[in-house]
Amino acid sequence: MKNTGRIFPMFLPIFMSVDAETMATGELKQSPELVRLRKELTDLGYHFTVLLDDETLYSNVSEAEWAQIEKLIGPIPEQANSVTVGNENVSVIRCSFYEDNEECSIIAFSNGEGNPLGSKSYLQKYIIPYVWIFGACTVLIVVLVNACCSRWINSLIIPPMKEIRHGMQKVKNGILDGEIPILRQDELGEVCEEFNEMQRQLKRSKEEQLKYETYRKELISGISHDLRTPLTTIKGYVGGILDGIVDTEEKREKYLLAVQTRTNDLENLVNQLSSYNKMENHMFRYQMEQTDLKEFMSGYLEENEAFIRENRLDILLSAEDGRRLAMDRGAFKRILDNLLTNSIRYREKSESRIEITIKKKNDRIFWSVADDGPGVAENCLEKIFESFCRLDEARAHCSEGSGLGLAIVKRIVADHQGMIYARDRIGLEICMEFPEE
Amino acid sequence: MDRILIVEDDELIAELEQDYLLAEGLESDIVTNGAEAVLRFRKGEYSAVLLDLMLPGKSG
Repeated sequence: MKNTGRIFPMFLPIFMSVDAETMATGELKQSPELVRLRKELTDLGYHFTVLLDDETLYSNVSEAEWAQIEKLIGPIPEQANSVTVGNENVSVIRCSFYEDNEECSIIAFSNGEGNPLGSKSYLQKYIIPYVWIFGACTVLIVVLVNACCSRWINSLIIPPMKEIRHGMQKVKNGILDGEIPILRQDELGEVCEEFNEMQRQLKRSKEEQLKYETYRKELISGISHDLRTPLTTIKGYVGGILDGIVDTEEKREKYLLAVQTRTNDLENLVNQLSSYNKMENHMFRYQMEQTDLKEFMSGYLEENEAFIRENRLDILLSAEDGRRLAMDRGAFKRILDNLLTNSIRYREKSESRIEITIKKKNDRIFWSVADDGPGVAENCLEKIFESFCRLDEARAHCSEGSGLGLAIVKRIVADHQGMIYARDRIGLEICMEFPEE
Repeated sequence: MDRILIVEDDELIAELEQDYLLAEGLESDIVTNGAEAVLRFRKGEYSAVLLDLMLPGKSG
């Protein structure tokens, strides 16, 4: 059975608007109510018959359909005013009323083989509007819910996002001070914290970069200064010879010796610079071997006896036995060369007393070289290990060192996993500590 | 004769300057630091000072 719920109300206008006289005169067929009813029932797949006291006023039900009605569901109960009868395939609706003792009836029939347009029309008339209404309501609800959720989520997200944006603008403008507040303890709060950490890293990196840039400028300035100074002397002495200043053989020899001295200084500077560059770029290959420090020191003093005597160095060695270290002997000789040369260079008298100590200290090997020179002011003790360190603007002469001696010493010590520091005692004491093997 | 005070901490340069001045007939003395240069100059013995700018201690 189908559509019976929708069919019954359609009959009512016929009986409400058309009186029995009209029905009887045959005007019923052309009445607008019947035309409309026919159209709607036809659209729904129904055929129907209008009866007045068993007289058929209108019918589009065929004989075959009447036979099918009677075969499938038997005679239609005549006493019922309004009745709906049917099964899965057939639907019969009867609607009756009495006017002046005349019975008016409409019988509608559908056998499921109705006009396919009927189903479509029903769909168009009743289902689709509901679908549209339902859809519109759904969309409206979705939009409202979405708007509410968006507003709620925005209230959670926007404030921290604004802070992050503000922070990013500051970073973009190079301002790395001040951190963004952590407004929430959730993923966004973590993002803010990560942003702050990134800003801190960036600040550290920028400071490192500035420090390196300053160091690089000082290095270039130091190199150019220390190269220019001996060149000026050489140029002056050669110019003196060419200008005829030199009038004796003795003076000529003195001038040539001065040129030779400064040329040697230049060569020394270039060699030191080359070594320093290799060490700084980890291109220097150390030949490590286990060495007893006391034996190493004794051997060094013996090998350099002439140098020590010529420079009037009084060296006192105080070394414990058995202090062994994996070292590059050549590099350690350079350490001693540089330290002794430094002591000679900056001393204010013609002789020096050097104390060299080797001992165990706090599970480490302690090695110090102390002189009795003028020493270094307390606030400059760390700075002396920097390349081309200028403790005195007057350190303008190559003969006074390349400015790389202690920087190279520091590099070698670091490459041997050691640490180095300076102390101001009677003179300057350079202390080195290495992990014991 | 006028004397000139050479203030220069690099001995080789100072001696070279002295030779050039001598070639022009000018006597000179050499000091290697600023403090000594001030003391010597105040005695009024010198007509001119040839001064290095960068000196140990007191600068030029």
